[in-house]
Amino acid sequence: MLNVAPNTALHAHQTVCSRLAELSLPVWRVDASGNVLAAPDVGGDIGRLLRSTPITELVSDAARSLADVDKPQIITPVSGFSVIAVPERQRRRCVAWTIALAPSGEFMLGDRFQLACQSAGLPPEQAKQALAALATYTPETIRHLAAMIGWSVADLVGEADSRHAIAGFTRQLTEDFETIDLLHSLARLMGDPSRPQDFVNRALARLNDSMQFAWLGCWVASDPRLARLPMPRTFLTGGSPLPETELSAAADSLARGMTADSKPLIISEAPETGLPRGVQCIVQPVARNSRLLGLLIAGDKQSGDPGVTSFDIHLLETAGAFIAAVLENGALYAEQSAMFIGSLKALTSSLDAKDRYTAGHSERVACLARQLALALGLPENIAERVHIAGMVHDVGKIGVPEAVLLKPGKPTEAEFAMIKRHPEIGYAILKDIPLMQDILPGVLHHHERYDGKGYPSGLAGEQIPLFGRILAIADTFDAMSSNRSYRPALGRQQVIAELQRCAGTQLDPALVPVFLSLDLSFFDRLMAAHRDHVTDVAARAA
Amino acid sequence: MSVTDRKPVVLVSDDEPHIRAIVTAKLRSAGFTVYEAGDGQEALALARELTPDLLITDLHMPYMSGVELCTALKADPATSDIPAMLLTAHGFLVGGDELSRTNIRSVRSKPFSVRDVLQDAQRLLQAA
Repeated sequence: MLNVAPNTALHAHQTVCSRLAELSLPVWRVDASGNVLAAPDVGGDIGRLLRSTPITELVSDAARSLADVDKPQIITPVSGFSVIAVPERQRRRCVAWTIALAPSGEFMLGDRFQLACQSAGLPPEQAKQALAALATYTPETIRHLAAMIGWSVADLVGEADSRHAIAGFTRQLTEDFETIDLLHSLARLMGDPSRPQDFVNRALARLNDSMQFAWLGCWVASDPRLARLPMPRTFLTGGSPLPETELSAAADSLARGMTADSKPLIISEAPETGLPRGVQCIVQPVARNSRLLGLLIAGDKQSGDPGVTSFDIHLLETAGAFIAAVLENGALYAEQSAMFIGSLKALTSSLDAKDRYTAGHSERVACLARQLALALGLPENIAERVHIAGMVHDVGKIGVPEAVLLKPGKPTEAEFAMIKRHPEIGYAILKDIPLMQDILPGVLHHHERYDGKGYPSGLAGEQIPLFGRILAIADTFDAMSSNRSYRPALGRQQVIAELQRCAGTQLDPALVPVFLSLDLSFFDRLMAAHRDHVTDVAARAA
Repeated sequence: MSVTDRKPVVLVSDDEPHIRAIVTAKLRSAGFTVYEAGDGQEALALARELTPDLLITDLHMPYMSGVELCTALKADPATSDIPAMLLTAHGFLVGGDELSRTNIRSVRSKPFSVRDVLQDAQRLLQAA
């Protein structure tokens, strides 16, 4: 992870140097070993004099004699040649010195001055004249100047440190905002529990907005509860270099080494996992209630800090927690749905067990009704409810005496009156089951007639609930297509003709043509299987 | 001197100034006296000078890491009792062997909740 030390001191010193230059004070920058890094950028005779070797050596020697203290020092290596040295510190170590010259007239009386003039090729009188304007410092003014420079540097460095801290805060704030925004987005994206795949896709897309990785993938473990849900097992967003099957295999092998409590894994070079070489990936376990439900994988970081950061992992963990919740909800929902349907089947099986002629009838009516509902343009979730209505529409027959129900031949008036009560009995049986309310009208009114001559309520036309009208057609079709004790099954053409004849009287004339357009091959397979079953049973009984 | 006589002294060591600022502000508002260090060596020097009641340190720092710092403190009888809390970036684990040579009582990964850090600090100071 990069941790570049801020060079706040350098900038501060550069500012000080430019300020001193405005005051015509010559400044050197010297490293901790005394080597001159920058000589005064002054023109004319003064410049040549100051950059001469004797002067340069004087400054270097002065620098080497400096103490490592955090305040300006005044040194006078040669009479009249006073320098103010300010340390440039980085991480509490002195890395360089800013050295300002504050000379006085005495310097020009000394040997070093003569040497410097010689070296610079300057006549001493000329050099004196050039230096005269600058060489006005007294010990007192030098002390004042040193103090001011020291404060100035301290203020500038302090300000630079503050800016550095602010940059840190800004980065932190930006990351925190991204995280919070991700949390909000994911919370809002949670929807239909029977379709966890919708959330996973949306979550990956949203995560992609916040993360700078080339691709993101989610792999769902083979949890038996989730197996009931028709959803894909791998999800990918971005440009994965791996085809889905390979990603799935790689995820499979990774998951074997992880548990619900595993920490996120950062993988760089792991060819045995099947993930692409030379690419950094983060593998985040998706887990809930101590169960590993899947893996969330981010691959190939694109920008920002090239190493994986805590922030990257945090985002992945956040999304992983949401995905885990949604998958768990999906699994629970599927389990609950299965339990519900299973209970209904148990209920209807008890009826089917008694009467081999009606066995399978409910299942076939349910399938036909569902097909018709979809053909009418009803949404999938409503068609599912119609299917359930079909499964239970005859459950009220349990309340009809067996002798009446199984009697071969036509029932008497009294017997028919008992049979006609089965819609109401079915309604009574089902009415207290929560979430069955939308199915009850279909159960109660599946024997109403379009012309109002049906039972139990004599409802007519559109007054009859839609589920009831749908079930009526499916029920009639299956009854005619089945062998009864008093007559054999009617041929397909005959059934069709009969349905058309009943359109407008017994059956809804708008629904009949739609029903007749359905593909009945599935129905025929169910019927064939039922007949085989009945033959087997009869053969064994004989 | 018992903890109730004076405010407990905490030394916070991290090279990122904004992290120091966040932790320090939280601890000060809870009544602690807090000193700051920007690198491992500065922290070691300050710890020896102040003998704080608690050290909270980052793992990755210039000159000396958090683990090296805590190892040095444990090795010195004058500072070996100071409990320490280690803050690490995600994915960096410190081995059990290494930890046993320090007085680190708690390890937290970043990003951390500063509220959790305060609770931890109070817990460690109670236990002392």
